[in-house]
Amino acid sequence: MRLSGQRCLLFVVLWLSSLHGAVVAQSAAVDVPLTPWLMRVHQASRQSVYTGTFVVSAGANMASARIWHVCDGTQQLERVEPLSGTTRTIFRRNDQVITFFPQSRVAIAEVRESLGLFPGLLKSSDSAIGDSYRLKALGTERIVGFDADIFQLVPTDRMRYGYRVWSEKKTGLIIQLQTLDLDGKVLEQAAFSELQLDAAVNVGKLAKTGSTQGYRVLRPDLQKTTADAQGWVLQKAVDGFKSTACFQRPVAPASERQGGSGHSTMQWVFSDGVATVSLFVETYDSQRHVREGLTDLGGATHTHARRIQDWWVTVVGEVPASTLSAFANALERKK
Amino acid sequence: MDDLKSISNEERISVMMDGELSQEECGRVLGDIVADRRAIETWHVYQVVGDVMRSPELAPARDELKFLERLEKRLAQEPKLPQSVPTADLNAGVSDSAWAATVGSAKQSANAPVFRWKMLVGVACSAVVAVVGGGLWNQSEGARGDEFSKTKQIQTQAPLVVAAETPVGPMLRDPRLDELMAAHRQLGGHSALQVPAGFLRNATYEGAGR
Repeated sequence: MRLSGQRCLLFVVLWLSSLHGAVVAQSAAVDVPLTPWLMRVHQASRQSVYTGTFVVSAGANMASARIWHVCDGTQQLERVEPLSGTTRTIFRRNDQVITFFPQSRVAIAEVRESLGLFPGLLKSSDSAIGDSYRLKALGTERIVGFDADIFQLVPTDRMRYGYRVWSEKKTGLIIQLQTLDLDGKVLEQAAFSELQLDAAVNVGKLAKTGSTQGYRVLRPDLQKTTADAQGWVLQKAVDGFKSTACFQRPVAPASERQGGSGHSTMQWVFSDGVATVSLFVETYDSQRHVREGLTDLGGATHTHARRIQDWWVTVVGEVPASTLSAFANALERKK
Repeated sequence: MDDLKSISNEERISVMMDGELSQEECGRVLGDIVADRRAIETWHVYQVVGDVMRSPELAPARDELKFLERLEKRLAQEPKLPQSVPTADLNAGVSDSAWAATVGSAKQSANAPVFRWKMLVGVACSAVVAVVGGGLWNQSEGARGDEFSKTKQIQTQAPLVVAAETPVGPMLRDPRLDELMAAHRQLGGHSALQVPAGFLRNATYEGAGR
């Protein structure tokens, strides 16, 4: 990945700010009730209007995007224009997400149910986030021109990472988020490098940018299923993680499958309320599936691959490597 | 070629396949080998070897890497050869047979059945893997649909590319893994921080090295 001079400078600034955050974190730590705080940061994103530039740095990689976000209390419209990687634009209306690829005039439309889960789930008794994380207030800091409260989600065990969050003082909007490893070092950082709150955004104009006119619209061929129906079971639960969804998807786009004989991949999703883990199970292929074990994808993301009889299991998640191994080793074919 | 008559039919075929012979010499060699059943078999074997080496389906890079590993082990066991013929030895006079052996080895064709040729193949194969790997690492432009079709072609040649070694494990690039990562980002958003920040993170960040 090539970094321009400006990007390098930004990277250094982000790195320094992460170091500074670590210093602040040590200065004070007061326990704060978790659920009300999560409700507040959710409320902030549902009620705030803002534009800005969002920067993600993970390991040695960095990506940025322009953001437009409007809402009227019930509906949220968001446009994300990544400035790094594949040329694309992501448009979100509540849980409906369309990714536009202008070069090929292809748009991928999907419904992400997970976007509608919270904060409803926080109110229900199903939420067990409090069992896995504790919230601590670390103080305040001025960041991208705003006064922010700093909080830290501290994991209660070594099965998950910690998070340090900067939320804007008046609204509660999250303007910086760090993922911390088991020793408290910053693995990943996502932050606004520039933010305009209550910016004048023309809602009608923004909504029009979500039009798929002139695009070939593709919808992922996803089918809801259960691990049980697919013949899989987690022989031992992984502490704090609950099964949240299970899908079946074709191994390749329909146009690339030969004679309709493509095998499907199962994606079984687990969450502890903050971190998510996906278990992918597909038919073993000796040509492609050559390396078992852990791999580091940079930042907070790891994978663990394992062959089970005629299947190949890939566990992906923003969790410590030992947690992925626990999932990979607990998965069993039903007898 | 001066010493065409002094070498076996197998070696003449090898030299011809390297394009080192004139049209007239090619005609002569072909005339000789059609009468030699063993030479015809050698010709066929060389052609098959060439086809296999050029075919990504028949000779996946993974196997070549294994070959390279075996080759490196074998090389370590090989006795060390002299790097060059010392000038002093030449001046002092070298026996005819020793001199002939030296000249012969220097003129051996690239695909002659000697061990160094195999080493060259191994190195060339690893270079191909590196080039394909570089292509995977750098591909970032174009629509996702186009990328899928490109990566599908590349998959059979180099399913895994080690980008870096880290304390946790090797950092890999694998087009299929990229697809799984994308699927994880799309459906793995069951997080209380998803709406406030996680969605923006996933929308902004495609993954390492993309």
